[in-house]
Amino acid sequence: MSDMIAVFGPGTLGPIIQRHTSKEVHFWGNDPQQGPDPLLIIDATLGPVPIKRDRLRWVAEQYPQTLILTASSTVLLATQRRWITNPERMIGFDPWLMQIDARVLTVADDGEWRLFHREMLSQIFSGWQWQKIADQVGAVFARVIAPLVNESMAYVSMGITHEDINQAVKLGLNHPKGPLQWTEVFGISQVGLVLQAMHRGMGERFLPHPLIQRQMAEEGVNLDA
Amino acid sequence: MMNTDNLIIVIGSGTMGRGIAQVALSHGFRVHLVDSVQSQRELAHKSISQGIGRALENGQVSPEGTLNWSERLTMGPDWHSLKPSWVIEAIPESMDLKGPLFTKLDEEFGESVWLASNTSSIALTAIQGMATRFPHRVGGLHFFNPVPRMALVEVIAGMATAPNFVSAAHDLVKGWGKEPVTVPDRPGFLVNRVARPYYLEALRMVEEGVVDYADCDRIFEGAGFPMGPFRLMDLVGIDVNFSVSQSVFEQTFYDPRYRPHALQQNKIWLGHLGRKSKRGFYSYE
Ligand SMILES: NC(=O)c1ccc[n+]([C@@H]2O[C@H](COP(=O)([O-])OP(=O)(O)OC[C@H]3O[C@@H](n4cnc5c(N)ncnc54)[C@H](O)[C@@H]3O)[C@@H](O)[C@H]2O)c1
Repeated sequence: MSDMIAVFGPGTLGPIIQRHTSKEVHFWGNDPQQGPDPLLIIDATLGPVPIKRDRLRWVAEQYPQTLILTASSTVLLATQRRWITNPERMIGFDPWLMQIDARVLTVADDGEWRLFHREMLSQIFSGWQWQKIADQVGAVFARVIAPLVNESMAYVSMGITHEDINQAVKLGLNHPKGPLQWTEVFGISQVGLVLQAMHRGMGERFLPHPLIQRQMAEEGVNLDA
Repeated sequence: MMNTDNLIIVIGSGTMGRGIAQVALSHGFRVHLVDSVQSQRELAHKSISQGIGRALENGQVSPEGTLNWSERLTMGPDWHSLKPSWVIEAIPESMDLKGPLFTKLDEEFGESVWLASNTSSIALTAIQGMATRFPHRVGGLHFFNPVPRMALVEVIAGMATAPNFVSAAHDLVKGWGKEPVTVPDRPGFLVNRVARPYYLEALRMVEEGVVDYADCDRIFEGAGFPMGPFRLMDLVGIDVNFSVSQSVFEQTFYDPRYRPHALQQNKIWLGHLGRKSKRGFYSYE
């Protein structure tokens, strides 16, 4: 096994992860590569689900022993574990917390493997605390941020500027970023994927605002595309 | 008798009214502070005096702006024949109180006097419906608590509000060092509406067993929020937070996005309202 960490997902993640580890971080973009077994594979993509599934299957077959940290804010970890061989090596996480380099990152796992996984993650990374949460779409952070962005879209559609919305929320609520600033970090269509997943699993209130739906359509992004 | 120059009438000398008066007085304005309760006026005077003293010490206001502030402040149970440029209402959050007051204000003040409400949840258009003479000069100036420290002011135009109201409101509060943002007259205006998921989804997650409240706070605080949702609800008051959700829920004709949470209702029944009752989600004994 090599000492390398392989990452799929948003390009900004590579440097952030690298700051937290002495291991070498390889950014794989969208195409997993053949080579020596990585120490850890991180799949930070939220969807489309069929693409995520096919890629994880390929990766799991190619690297049957490697620990996999996979975004589980749009697809349950329990579902993803059914896609691969040696499913116990898979841990769920919320990539948005990693993208903003938060101090505490959430993980979904089952009790039995927790200790081993926690030790592995703590050995590989420094400066991140890992908080176990239940395996549920939306996790904790995205569960709140995506609806917050969704709410703000109603104001965008009424002609309120992004600057005004961000300013009001930052000054009025002391949030570290305004709603439209979160979308600059994560991408509107990625927010849409989280909302779509929560809409399916947890109800009507998460229906993405029409502006988000349009953006997703324009980018060809959809949970089942 | 005072003239129109820089005279503001503030009605209600509670938490918000005294804060608004303090800010106006700190920027050279003259203020007539109205409250039906004398003891409230006395408390307000004391609080303004201490507030200005502290703000001066900390360099948050200028000595020129605050100069002779106490000579520029008058108080009383009524406003008699004063001629202000603005009347800002900050009495309790009840249409039964605000409605008749705006009817009276609209009858007594000429068209050129701007009438603003600091309501946090009542539709400005409903208030305009009570000021039928000149509804276009009525709108919202939603300050945040504590007024001297919070820079944001939501400027709210009801359906009948004139564009002039909005520009005059911006000029006024900018002159007080505030940051105005014009927001639509919809339930929760902007800030209180966009904020709902921060509390409601957090409450739902805890109930669903996704995470417990202390870990939930740790996650948000680790992401740069000064306070996690539960610590913040304890600070604001669980009852206050609950009533905002309730009001947005009712005014949106029961949109499920804003459905208040039973966990908060239960805390209220037990008197666990947050810091002010020494117990909320956390204990402050
Ligand atoms: N407290 C907050 O955090 C906050 C924040 C934003 C907006 N607001 C809004 O500001 C308004 C005032 O809230 P508050 O917290 O300052 O209330 P408060 O209860 O502290 O003060 C209200 C004051 O109004 C006086 N009053 C009642 N009826 C009156 C009348 N008819 N004429 C004159 N005075 C009268 C009362 O004696 C009291 O002193 C409400 O509409 C509230 O929703 C409050």
